Amino acid sequence: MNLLDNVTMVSASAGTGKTFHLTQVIAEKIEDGLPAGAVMATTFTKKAAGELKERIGARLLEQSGAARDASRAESLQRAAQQLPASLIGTVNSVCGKLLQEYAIDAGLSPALEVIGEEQLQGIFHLATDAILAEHGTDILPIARRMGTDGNGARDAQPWEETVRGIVDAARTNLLSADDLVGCAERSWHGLRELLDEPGQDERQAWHRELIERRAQLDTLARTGIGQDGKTANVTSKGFLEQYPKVIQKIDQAVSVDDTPWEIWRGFIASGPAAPIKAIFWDLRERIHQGLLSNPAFHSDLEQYIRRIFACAAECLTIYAKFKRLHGLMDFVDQETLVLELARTSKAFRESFASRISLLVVDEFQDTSPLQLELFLQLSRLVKEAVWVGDPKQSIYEFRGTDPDLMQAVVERVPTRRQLSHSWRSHQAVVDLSNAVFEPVFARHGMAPETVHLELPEDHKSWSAGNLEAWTRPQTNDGERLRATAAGVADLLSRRDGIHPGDVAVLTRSNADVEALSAALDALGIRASRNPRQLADAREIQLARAGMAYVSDGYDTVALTEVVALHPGHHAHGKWQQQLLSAVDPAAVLEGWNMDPLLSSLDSLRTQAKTATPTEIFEAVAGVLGLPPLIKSWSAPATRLRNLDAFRGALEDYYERCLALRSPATLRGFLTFFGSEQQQSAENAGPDVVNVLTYHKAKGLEWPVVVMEALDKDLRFAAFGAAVEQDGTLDLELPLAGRWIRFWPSPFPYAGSPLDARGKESQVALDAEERERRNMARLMYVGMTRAVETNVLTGKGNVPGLLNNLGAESLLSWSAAEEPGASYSQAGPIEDPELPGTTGTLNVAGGDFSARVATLEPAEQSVATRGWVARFTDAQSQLPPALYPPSRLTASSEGSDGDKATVLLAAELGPRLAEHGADEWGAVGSAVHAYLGTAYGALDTVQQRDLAERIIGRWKIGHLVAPELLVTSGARFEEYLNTAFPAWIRHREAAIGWRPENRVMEGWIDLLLEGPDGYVLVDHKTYPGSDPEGHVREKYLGQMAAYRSAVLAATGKAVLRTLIHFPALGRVYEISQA
Amino acid sequence: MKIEFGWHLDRAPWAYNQPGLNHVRVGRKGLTTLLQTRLGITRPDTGHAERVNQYLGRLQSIDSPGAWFHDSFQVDSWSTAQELLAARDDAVSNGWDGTLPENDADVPTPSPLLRTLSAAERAPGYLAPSLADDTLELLEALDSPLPLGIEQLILHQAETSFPRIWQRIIAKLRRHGVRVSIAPPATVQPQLTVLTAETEWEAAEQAARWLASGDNASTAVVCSDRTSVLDQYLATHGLPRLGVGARSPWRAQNQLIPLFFELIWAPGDVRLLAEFLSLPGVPVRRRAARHLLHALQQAPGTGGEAWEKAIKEIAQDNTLGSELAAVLDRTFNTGLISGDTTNGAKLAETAVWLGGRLRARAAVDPAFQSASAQLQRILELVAPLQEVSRRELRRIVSTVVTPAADPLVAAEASPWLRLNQLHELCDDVDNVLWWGFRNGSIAHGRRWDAHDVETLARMGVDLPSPEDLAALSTQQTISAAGRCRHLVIVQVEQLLGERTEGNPLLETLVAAQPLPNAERAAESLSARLAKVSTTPAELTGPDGRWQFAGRRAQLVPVNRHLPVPPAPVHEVGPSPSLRPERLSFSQLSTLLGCSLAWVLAKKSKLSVADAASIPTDNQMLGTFAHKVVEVLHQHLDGETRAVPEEAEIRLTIDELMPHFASELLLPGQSRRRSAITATLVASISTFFSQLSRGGIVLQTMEQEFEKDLRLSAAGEDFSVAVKGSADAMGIDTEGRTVVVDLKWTNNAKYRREEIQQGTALQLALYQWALHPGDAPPDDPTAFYLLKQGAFASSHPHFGTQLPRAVEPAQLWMQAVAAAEFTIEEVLAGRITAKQPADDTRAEDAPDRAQMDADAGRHHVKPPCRFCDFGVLCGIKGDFS
Ligand code: SF4
Repeated sequence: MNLLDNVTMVSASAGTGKTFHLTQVIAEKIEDGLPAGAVMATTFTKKAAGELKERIGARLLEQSGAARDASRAESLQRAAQQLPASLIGTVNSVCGKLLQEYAIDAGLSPALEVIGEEQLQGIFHLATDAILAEHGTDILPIARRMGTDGNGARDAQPWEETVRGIVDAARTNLLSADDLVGCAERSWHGLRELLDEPGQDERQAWHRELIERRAQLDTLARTGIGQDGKTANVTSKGFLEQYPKVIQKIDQAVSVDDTPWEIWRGFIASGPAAPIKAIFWDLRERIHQGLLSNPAFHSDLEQYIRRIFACAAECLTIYAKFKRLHGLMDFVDQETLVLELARTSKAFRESFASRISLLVVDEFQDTSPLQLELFLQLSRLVKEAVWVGDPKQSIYEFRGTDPDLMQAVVERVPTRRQLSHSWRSHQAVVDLSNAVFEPVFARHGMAPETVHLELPEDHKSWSAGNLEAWTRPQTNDGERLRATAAGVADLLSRRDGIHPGDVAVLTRSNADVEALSAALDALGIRASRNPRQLADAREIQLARAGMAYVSDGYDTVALTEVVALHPGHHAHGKWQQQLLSAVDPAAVLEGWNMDPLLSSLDSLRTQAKTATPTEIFEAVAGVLGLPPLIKSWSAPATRLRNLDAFRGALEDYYERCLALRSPATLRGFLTFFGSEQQQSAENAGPDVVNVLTYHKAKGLEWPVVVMEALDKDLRFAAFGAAVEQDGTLDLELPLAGRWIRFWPSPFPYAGSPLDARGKESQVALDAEERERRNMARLMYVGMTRAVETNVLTGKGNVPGLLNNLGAESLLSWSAAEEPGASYSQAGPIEDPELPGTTGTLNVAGGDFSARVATLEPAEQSVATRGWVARFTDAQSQLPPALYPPSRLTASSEGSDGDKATVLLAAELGPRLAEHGADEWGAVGSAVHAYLGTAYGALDTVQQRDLAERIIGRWKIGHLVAPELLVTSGARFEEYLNTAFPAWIRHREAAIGWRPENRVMEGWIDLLLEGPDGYVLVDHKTYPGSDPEGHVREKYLGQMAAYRSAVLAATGKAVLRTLIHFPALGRVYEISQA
Repeated sequence: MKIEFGWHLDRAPWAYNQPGLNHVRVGRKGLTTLLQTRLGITRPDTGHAERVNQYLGRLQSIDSPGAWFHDSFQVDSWSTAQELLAARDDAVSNGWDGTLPENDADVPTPSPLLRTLSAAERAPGYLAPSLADDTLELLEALDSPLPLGIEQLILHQAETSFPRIWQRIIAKLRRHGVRVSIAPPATVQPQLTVLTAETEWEAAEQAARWLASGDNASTAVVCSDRTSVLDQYLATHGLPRLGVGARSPWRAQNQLIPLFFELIWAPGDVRLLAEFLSLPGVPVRRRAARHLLHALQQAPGTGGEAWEKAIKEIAQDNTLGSELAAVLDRTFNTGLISGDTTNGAKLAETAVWLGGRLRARAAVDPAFQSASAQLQRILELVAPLQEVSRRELRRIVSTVVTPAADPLVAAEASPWLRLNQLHELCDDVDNVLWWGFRNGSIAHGRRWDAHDVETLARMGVDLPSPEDLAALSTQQTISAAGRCRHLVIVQVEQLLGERTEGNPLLETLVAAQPLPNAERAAESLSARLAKVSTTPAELTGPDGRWQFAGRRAQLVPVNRHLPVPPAPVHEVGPSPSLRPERLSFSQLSTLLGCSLAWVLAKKSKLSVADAASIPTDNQMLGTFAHKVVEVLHQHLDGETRAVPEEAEIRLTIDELMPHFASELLLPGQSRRRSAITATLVASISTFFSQLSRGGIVLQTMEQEFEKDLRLSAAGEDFSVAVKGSADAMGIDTEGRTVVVDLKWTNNAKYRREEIQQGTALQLALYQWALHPGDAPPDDPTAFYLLKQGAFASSHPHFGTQLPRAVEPAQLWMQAVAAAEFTIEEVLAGRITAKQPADDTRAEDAPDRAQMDADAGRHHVKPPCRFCDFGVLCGIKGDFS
């Protein structure tokens, strides 16, 4: 059988209702009788999983409501209720669940802790510390020359990070430590091709000359006269700027052995000032020429590659061991371990196969190679597998996805379905996407019908939709973003019914997101990205200060911050005056401390001993009245979300503590929060324009989508570490032939002969093509997010990036020509036939009507945002109330204040036990246990048995004999028989009561019910000599509470209250005065 | 007695409207205990950790290299034992007696799990019984002739929906004459309202207002989640608080013991020690803790000078005493356990002090009782062990110190009925408010493999599936919903920084709603859900009228508050008290850089907590390196040598590290440690050898000086004592005084620029202070950049010379001018936050650097990066 025979591949182009389809596939199976527990479904995000479960559940319930037959209705309902327990979730959550259940089969600690994304680096370094230290001795000298010892260029990846990157790549591609050795060999061989034959190491000579010429330079700088005796221009801006830099660089060439290669390459700028050029240029040229044949350079590259791989190989092993030992695992482990179970554990395979029948994988195109292998394995164990995805939307290569590998697998699936109806977009948007991407994806080998989108019949009556093209001719990137912001403002003003929240602007980088948000903000339009860091938001500063003050009352900075930030403090607004002019500042601080705000924080400090840092935060927020304050501030919804995001930061902190097995404390959190940059909450709502990256836009849609950054260049490089694939796909071993190529380069700013060779290499050409394809998919994702309007942007009218996707002269636009009309004054000229369009978009030879405009950045608008009325509760009319605790435990009620007398009521016999040993509590429990039964119904033998059993169970055989129980029972029974002959005996009577809104639930040892009321009896095993005092001190309140409870429950009074001391053989009576 | 029994009723209240005698509501735990009492089969409780320990012993006796659980057991015996014990208890609570089907060709062999459990049942060693065993035992005990005193058992669910073993127990109760009946099922469903708020605060505001806007005599509040935020809103309405806390392992008193057991191992972790010492409720006297924290803030290590001084101060403080000092020193310094394992008895001994403190505290403060008891339990478990590893100890600790749920404020007496889950509702009420709906369901039971289920079924043991249990809990919720007329569900979209997942129960509740007419039947479930859903924004009208789920209120408008940034310049009037009496270089530099920062630190004496300013990174390494050089110099000086041996440097580094940079000794730091050591060895050696090559004889390290600086400001002449110490002082071949300042910095460029621009005020100040006269001589000075192993100097003694733009004498003059200018400002009561002042400068105003340059004043940038007052001066302010 073909390995993929039971697999159906559903290719769902953008907007074609993938989730709907998935819901249908799964729900239908369940409706046909498949137990919900027999479905395993993985999604890309938690949110998607939640949605999927919700939708399936809703559908099942609907079907159940419509069902004629009651048993079918019930079984559908049951199925809906079982969904929470099913294996539907992200790949990680599902794998995590499986591993928890099969931990022991997998030989793992069952208390596995999953390492969160943020903790990975910390754990990796902890685990591999010794290895890195050991290898560091050999690697560091090379790393220093390579500029990767942490002291090189800011962007240069430190060698440890490279090691970690290689370890990660090895893990997600299932490469072993041994494989890595082979990777080193191949990497070096490939890189060696770029170099010249080794020659002489001339660095000594270079160095000598460098030092000599530096002296010349110094003289020149001092005197202004060069070697040649001529005056040189040492006051030019270029010279003044470059001179110190040159000195600093040359100063790094202390000894030949320590000199970074980057210094050899770039000790002077590539465009040096004339006097500098005169001194150094020929030397520089010689060095550049000799670099690629320098044997030391060869050796550094080779040794660096080999040692990094060798180190990575050891780290791979030790990291795995460390995690195993400490019961830790990360997301990759979860997948690897489940894969291993699926491959090797017979028990797991059988169990899984008998449990799961349907395996559904969503967003198949974004699975990593490891996940791919996992799904292949699991699919073999189930009856049926459905993989849903869209190869055109595979945009996570940077996270380790391999679209080519994926494509190869997908092509082998015999059963396929293509979803091509766009339920999302209007005609114009669909037409544009078809026109752009059919030719582009044809170059990826995709048939037009897998790209082409159609409107479904139902939507044919929708309006046509709009296209726009914005030219922003500014040369500066920031200015162009500002022009786009102005375009958004204009669009909002001219399009009725479009709210800011209907618009999304997509960018390539987070920096652009920030810049664009700021530009919109300047125009009075709030963007989804909040420019402020969490720690810099006012409410968070206030809360943090409060927490710091709770943590340490001597933290006078925190104290002052509370005063400075809190409008309710009496010194707020005056604090500088008071503090700075004070002769005795301590007294001022003392005075501030008296404010109720701070005394409440002080009292929180005493409560803090039983609280979590989160609770302290919440209490601080409450004491400082943050929520009401926030109501009077700007953007209250965002600020409230910030409060919650702060709790999120606390959760991150706990997670880190868990992973590092370290305790978590308030102080620890404050340190953590101080050292971490946390993003503040996003703005959201209908008045907020969405600004986000293309990647984040995946799966979302908006009425209007503005595509930014359509002019950016492709970014690719031959250097660095990358995963390569040899040969063709073998479904049995889909990851065979994968290896890691690592080509180091010591030149972070490029510009070396090595870079020149690298650029021409096949590796670079492949990388470029790969990047081009990535970009095509990313643009596809972006363009298909629009429902109604798509806006393209460009520097000119031919957006470079879109025309570099592989199809030449793909797209451009032009404004309608109308001679004489000036653009900037009259604004765009509308075509009277097609209102709103002012030009054409030319795509692959076809024309589309579009609104074409040229934009300028708008001037800052001064209009502040309006204040929308907000409301709050009127001051409570009631005085702040003090409530007693909800729970009333009879035994904790105080005895005092209850005027009562305690008198001996009966003597039952002699004292049975002498003293209270340490374990007397157990004796008491045993006696209670005996008296709590209806032992009177047993014969003497049975009674003794019972007593013996109880003594055994309470392990007090060495303290008392069974007789004690039997005797005390018997004589008490006798007493009852005489004193209360016909009374009903309720042993262990339960009483539940709510006196004054409090809750009391308890057990009365014995309640005798007579015709006119009750007698309450309590057994006390007190063995001491002052039973009266004991009762008076401890039990009066408790008994009074029981009496009231009985009266409330039955309407009949308790006539007498007796305390039975079995060990003393006495009964006392409490009588109220 | 009348008993209402339902699988999930263990926490249900017995009475709301009616007090009740002999009428209880119980779940399986409650019913088990009740029957145990009546049957005389109660027994002492055994802690969970103890049982795990006992089971671990049994597993040990059946472990072998080939055992199925061997690998797991090896890496984590505690958790493995815990996991298997849970499986065992689950099987036993369903009636399993530990035996397996006879070997038989027709019967598939039991799984390794069941075989292991079965072997462990027979293995030697005592295992204390648990609730699971009790259930099994009940079956037998119910044959006893003892009368039970139970008249009626009312089941809250179909008898067949109970796990099989409970059906058998119910049958036996019947035989005891108990009347068994079924609670009448609810017939109507309540009117449903769903409020979805963004955050918990918004949700709480609405929920509290709703409770405040009606009488709650017939209301139940279901709290399926913590109520800390809701409680704050309730309190502002003058309503009683619900007081539900979350189970969390992170309570201060739960961290005490884990923290302590981290601290007793060598090498000490000063950051954790600081956390311990500043933990709320730590049983170290506050004053003593302050001494120690201060020492750590001086030098981040134990056992060094600062530490010893603190210990001495504690000993001399008669409210603290030498005994305490000795204990603290022993516990956190001298008595640390080295290695990765230790002996149990030794561990117990180490904790004697803490045990004593906790017991004493517990006697007066019940909050410490559990910590005290937990410590005893841990010590009991550990003491007998020959060898305990740090990892094992952690696991034992985490098994014993279990998450607790005490809320900050306990529940207060309230007119409403407080429940944890809706299915606990057994009384009829008008309204239910459901808080924390996302948690509104029950943790499901253990999932057994189909094969195991089959095997156990052959032994008459029927395991309920988690699916059955899930369905059961949903059914009970739906039927409980029928006991109220209005059900108000409150849910939030974002909690603890994450989007929340919807609770599928919601759809179920909506689906259970009656359909008033046929057309609605055609509506989709989501449309029906949308009809009953609302958001906080929809509840308030433009006139402030608020209406929600049948209750209404009139709200008042909120006044807008626009925060204003603090003024960059504060005019507080002439303030002679602000005159500096003494200045060090760093104070002078702060004063010139930002007078606000200087006044706040030096005059107002504002400071952050000691625990928050324990040096790390560059600050720590700088001090550490200094100290190493200083100590080395002392050695060399005694022996008139100039350059230390490499081994000597290494040795000194190793000696001083625990006192000055102890974090480098922690696990995970060896790479950093060796890199730093290598750098230091090379760098310090270069330092000494270059000095000697440059003809400099190093005379003293930390040369202290004090010299009066004559200044005139505000029309007055006065002098300020300039105090400090020069890092390294020596003499060159020409007899000139040489001063070198040692820096550990990432940014060598900045120091070089200072030399090149002639703005290295620190070096000029040293030369001024070490010489008589008003101006510093141009004697040799240098920065030594420890991390880079290079000097930066414009003098030829130190290798490559940097060109210099301004002479020290001139620099000094400019500095004096700047000081006089600034002090004049300050004395006039004009105190400036420099950065904000620069930022708010008008477009056309000259910038300050230029103004200083024009006036001949040395310009210093405000030290914002190292300043604790950024929020106070407003540069980190949020004025949006
Ligand atoms: S942060 Fe900067 S401006 Fe503000 S007080 Fe500190 S040094 Fe001055």
